[in-house]
Amino acid sequence: MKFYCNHCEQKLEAPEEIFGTEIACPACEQIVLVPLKDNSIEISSENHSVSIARGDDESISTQEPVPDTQLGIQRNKIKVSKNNRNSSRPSQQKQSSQSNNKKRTVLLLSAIICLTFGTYSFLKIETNTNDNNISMSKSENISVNEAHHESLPLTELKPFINKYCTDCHNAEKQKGNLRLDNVDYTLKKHSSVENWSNILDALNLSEMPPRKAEQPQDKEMMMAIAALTEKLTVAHKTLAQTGGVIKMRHLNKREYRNNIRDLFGFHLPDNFMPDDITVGFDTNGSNQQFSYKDIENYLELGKWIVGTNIDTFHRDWRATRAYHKKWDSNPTVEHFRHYFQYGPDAHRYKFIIQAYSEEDVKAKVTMGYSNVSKTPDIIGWLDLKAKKGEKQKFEIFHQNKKGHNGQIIDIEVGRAKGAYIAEIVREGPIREDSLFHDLIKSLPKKNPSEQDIARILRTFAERAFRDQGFDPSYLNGLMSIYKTNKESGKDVLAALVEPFSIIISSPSFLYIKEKSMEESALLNQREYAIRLANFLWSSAPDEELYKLAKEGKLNDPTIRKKQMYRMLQSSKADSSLESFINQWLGMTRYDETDIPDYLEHSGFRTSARQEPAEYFKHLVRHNKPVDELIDADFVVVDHVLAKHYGIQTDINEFQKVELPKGHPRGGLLTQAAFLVMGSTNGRTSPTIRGTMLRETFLHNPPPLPPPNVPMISSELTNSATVRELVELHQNTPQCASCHDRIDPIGLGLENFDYLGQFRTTEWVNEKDRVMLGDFEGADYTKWHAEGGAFLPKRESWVSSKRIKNWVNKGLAKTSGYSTGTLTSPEFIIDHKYCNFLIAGHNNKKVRLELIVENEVVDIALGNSTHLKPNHFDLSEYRGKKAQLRLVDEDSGGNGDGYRVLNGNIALDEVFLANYKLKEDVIIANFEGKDFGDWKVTGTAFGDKPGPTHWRDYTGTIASSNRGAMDATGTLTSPEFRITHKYINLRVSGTSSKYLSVQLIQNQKVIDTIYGSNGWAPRTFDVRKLLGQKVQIKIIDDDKSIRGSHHRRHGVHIVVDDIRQSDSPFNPRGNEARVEVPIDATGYLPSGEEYTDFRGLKKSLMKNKRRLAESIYSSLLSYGIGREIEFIDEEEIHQSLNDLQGSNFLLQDLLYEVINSPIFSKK
Amino acid sequence: MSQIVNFSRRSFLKSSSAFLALPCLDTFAEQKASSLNKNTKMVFLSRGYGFVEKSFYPTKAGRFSDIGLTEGLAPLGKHKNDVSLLGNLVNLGHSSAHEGSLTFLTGAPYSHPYKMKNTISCDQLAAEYLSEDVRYKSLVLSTDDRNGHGAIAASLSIDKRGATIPGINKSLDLYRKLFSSNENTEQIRHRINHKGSILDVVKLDQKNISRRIAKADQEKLQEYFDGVRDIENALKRQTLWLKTPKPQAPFKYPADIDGEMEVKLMFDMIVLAMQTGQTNIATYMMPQASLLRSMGSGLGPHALSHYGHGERLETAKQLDAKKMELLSYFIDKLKSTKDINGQALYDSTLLAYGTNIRTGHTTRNFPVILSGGAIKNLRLGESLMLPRNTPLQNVWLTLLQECSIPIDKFSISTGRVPQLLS
Repeated sequence: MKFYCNHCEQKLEAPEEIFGTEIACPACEQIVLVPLKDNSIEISSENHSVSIARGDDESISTQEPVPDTQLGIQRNKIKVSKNNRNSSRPSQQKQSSQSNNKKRTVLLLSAIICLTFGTYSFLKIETNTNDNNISMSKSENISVNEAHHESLPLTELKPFINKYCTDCHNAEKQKGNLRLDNVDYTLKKHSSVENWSNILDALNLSEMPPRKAEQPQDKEMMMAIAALTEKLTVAHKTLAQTGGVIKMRHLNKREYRNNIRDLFGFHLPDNFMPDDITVGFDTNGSNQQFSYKDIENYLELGKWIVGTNIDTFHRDWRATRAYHKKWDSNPTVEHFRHYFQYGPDAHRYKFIIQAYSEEDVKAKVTMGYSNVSKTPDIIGWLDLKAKKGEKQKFEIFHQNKKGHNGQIIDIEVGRAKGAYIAEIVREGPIREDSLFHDLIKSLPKKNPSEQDIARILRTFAERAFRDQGFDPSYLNGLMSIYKTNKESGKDVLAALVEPFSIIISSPSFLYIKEKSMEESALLNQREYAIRLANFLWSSAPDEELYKLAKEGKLNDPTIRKKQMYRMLQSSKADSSLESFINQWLGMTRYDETDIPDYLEHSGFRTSARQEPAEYFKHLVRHNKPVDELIDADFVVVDHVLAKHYGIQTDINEFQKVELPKGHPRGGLLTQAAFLVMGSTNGRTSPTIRGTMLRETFLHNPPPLPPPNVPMISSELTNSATVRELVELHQNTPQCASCHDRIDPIGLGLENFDYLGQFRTTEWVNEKDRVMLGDFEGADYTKWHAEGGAFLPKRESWVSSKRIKNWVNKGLAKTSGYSTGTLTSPEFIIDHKYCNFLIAGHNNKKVRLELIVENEVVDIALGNSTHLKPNHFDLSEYRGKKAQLRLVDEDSGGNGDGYRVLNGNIALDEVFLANYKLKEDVIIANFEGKDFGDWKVTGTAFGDKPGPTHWRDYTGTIASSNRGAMDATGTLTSPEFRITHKYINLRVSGTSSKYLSVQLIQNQKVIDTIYGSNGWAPRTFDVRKLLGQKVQIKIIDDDKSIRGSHHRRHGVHIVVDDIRQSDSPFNPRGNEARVEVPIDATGYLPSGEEYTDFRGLKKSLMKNKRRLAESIYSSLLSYGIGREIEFIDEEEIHQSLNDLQGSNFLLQDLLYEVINSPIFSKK
Repeated sequence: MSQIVNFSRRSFLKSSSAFLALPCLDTFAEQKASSLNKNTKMVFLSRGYGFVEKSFYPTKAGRFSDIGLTEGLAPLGKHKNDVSLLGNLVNLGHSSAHEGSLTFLTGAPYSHPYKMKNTISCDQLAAEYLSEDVRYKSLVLSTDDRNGHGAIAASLSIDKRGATIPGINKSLDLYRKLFSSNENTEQIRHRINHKGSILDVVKLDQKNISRRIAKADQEKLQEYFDGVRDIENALKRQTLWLKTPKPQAPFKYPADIDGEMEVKLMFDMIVLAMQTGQTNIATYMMPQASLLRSMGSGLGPHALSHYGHGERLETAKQLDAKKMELLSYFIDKLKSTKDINGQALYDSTLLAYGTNIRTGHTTRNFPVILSGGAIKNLRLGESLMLPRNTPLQNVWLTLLQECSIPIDKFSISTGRVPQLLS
């Protein structure tokens, strides 16, 4: 049937199957409704139109391939036995012959056919969903023939709607102006999709059915929501189909930088441009935005790039600016620093470093910046080997970023024996050979003529515009700008800055032009070369490719394959391969995930970010099968990651490392970055991990989070395991409908914690423990203070130095002469004990009262400057209402408001539990005349505890400031048996890795605490060691004499008040923690179950065709710059069938991509 | 709270509100009489993610002076008679739970957030009528941090072609735009002309690149040449304003600013730009992450928008309060700054603040807060429960019409919302 587009008046023709549906007009892209022949919109069970659309196999498969001037549509395969394939994909053939005919209407018909096919695939997915109530759609092996038996998309919801909705929403009774008895189940029109979205909202929000009406069972509800959510997702996708049209696109940031690199030999630092705003691949033209601001940015940036590169001509080429510095070997100095002042010019420099060492050591080289307050960048590593007296030479390159003035180069060699830096030389700015530099050099030194200028501008523009030509008027325009600049007094090179910058801001450079008045036409050879180069290099073709294109040789399968190998082996392929895998994995999420500071500084953040890319490049270049993305017996890591993964190896940069047998790593999904991405707020997230696995490895992305789903609010958060938390999703049908097919996939990775460390247990807060008051907030929160004794704000530990053993920052305390009370909120007694830490005057006027049903039934007194554990026994009051009241009736005091022992009392960590806290056992408080049975070595600690030089601290302490400034020494406790869950201690002195307290068992260091500036409460968690014997060792091994003057003896460590306790000084919170074993069982959406990450990997292996499909279609999408649509699926399935025999080797996959008819079409 | 170095917040705020040099009197004097009050100003602010359900939203309708302010709204206490919170809104055709700003001012329907074609935003529509006599047609302020706004949302303002107008993402750039540099008129004229001739050369490439390409590609390419035209129009406007110097900066740009300062600086400069007649329209898509950081929280905005309990919920509530505190600060500024007639800017401004997301993933019944005296009979000081599922499109239509913008439909609006007016 023929009709007109009501937007652009284009004459259109549509097969019967799409009567009554909305399609995008192939001419103007507006949504048009294909009219109905009659009022029926039933889809015919006949399929004759589809068979026309797909073509008669015999007649079409015999068509000749198009002539060689166009790129061959026939697959130039090395493999044979393609006969079946050609006949099985007539639609491409047909399109190509049609496009050669250049008949507009025929082309339009083919576009509509594409849409038809899309609709049928869509229907097919629906059909499959019907097979299994809540199973996911199985898009695998869709064949058009199966589309005969489609049912209307949403008819499965009909019983649900009729049962629960139409009583109120029918012809007579239209509650809320809504009728559902005649609702459109087809989901083909925008209005229908909108309508069903509203219905989904009402279900998700539990608005409907109304409470007084009959309610669906959870399972019914879940199925209805699941079906609706999935189908709306597909419907949205269908309505957004373009029919396989590739939109012209502009260079993305990566391509722009690579083009600049190829033209200028200049590496544009990545912070000189804003990041692309994209969804999907950054090569997708239809998602790109462009505005005036981009033009201004390109003009500005172009001027800067050209200016910077012109600038190097004002300097001596290969000018070497040498800085020479020698240090004496000084074993106490760990850093070698030198100032290299240079501005933010973004030139590249080379540092040549010569060093000695008698020990193996990896020295970190960083560059600090004078004008930005940020941690120095790690710019390289020196892999020093033990070679006595032999000079070792290293080269490190560095280029400034925008706004950074490079300044201090810092080399950390640690304390390796004999390690020192002999010389650092800086060379540069480095100017690499390039077209731009050649052209500038070719100019006569004196007074170049206008012809000379025109020549270099022309040559440059030709290459910049990818050999696709330009208008003579354009060159005249460039020349006029040059002349104006020259006339205004600029010298030749300065006058050239603007003309060159205009070239690299012009649309012919910024946009990738594929000439064709028609969509889906074949690319010519040059265009194919450009697409190929953009795909594999993210840049323009080189001489060789241009030449082959000109000679028409890129059709030759042997040449094509050879070129692909050449391009892949080139380092120019790095950025494209890296960027592909990063986008495929969705690595932007990684950048948004928080990791702890210490990992941020150790280089872990950047190393982990780089790992998937290095791994993928290795797999591609070694032509590995796609399933090594799931698992492999090796990793590609640098030394930072090797350490993180616990792999013993002597490597520096990224390289392949064989894994020991049984090691949990191997494959992408056990890489740190993947696991970190699948975490949120310091805990793993099976939901995120499951979503990522479905999107990537299973090629089956779950629907976007639908709007208007209620949030789960749980009080459990910190006391539940991650599994318990995600299982909350199963409690409501609204959540379970989707999460049932997301979370159980991610649970398989529970064997890895939020930083990607392997684990078999996780720590959660104790459940049966109720905190009544930890006094950590800004005030007393729900406790009620009366009288002046309690300051309105909590005490912080700074002002409570004379009380020992407080937990974290806050505690409740009375002060001075005032009196008052502090009363807890009322609680119902449901535990055996009320535990608390108490300190204060042993005087009944200051006390803690237990009040049960308004009667004081028990009191507790403090009797120490130390907060000590105490408890009330509640067992006889179970079920009754109770309160605690801290009372200060003593108006006495010694005038010092902070002295606890004079008429004051302090309280912390009040909680209810079914156990009572044990009294702390003091291991050492260093109050004696000597160190007793502690063993002393060295001179740092002297022979007895020293007086504290801390003003507010009483008694004596263990301090390593007793010897000479650079004295070292240790102090080791006798062995003792662990009786409590924690060892608490106070540490002060200087922050240094050579000042530490070690927990030792059988000569082995179990745990270490480092020195810190200022008194800090510290804890060894010894729950795993209960009953075992350990020692404590205090170490000062810092020989340096740095330190501020007011500290009498420079760098030292101070330790006091070491005690066993059941209440930890826990910097992250003060709840008691319990360890629970990890349960990593889960299942795939197909129902296939597994018990841990190894099982998950095995299941993914079984589904490796899914992975191959995911990688293949993503590569294709990335390469052509548009999304894969229903129209492409047949082609993709065929390709995968071909590849299956070769086990989906990655280079075969890539070759299949560049050979695909889809790849060589506009 | 982070430390602010080299800069006293108080001294800056004092100096900026004390600034009253008005170099653009002439342009206002020539205003023609029309029903359109070209003195009307509009500011649209957007929040991104929603607010904590229990602590932010009033449960009933009524005047705030009667029903009181909720915990989340409490920082607006000073202005409780001058703000209204609209209830029961829907943004027709909005279908994503993470795109709080993408269609907030446009009301464009879409089936998939990444496949959408946006439509003109209400601020740009208003600018067509209100911005003839000002240096800048509108100020479009934004942030790099698209958290909660939408992955492809670059600003709140969309032009009539459906293209997003890129925002000024940093207060420093706005500072440079608003205040005079040391160029003299001749230098500026030369710069404008030279830039014009560079654009002329770029345009010479059009013939070449557009030759023999498909229609869809022509359209894509048109974005580039539309961009060139936008720059040329801006240059033309600059030429018209050549003789009127930009005001001198009333304060030195502070050396070290945190997330909260950034927002306040943007607010201050919106007020200054309006006071000095440089613009009548401003939109600001506000940052989330940097504000959180300046509050001392390391939590991510998305994670926070799922609230949870304990620390996260507390932080979310604090963020709500901080946002309202900043809104209150802005209203303060509008009230305390006088325009050339000695009238408070507040009296001629329409201020709207909100997001498409109510809370978590809920997109129905999202919050819009109105304030300002531009519409005399606008109901202010109330928790306004509109009829269930009132389209946001209708609200923008009503507000623009009340500002005498001659339109009878906005996006897919279905009618007016008389309940907004007393």
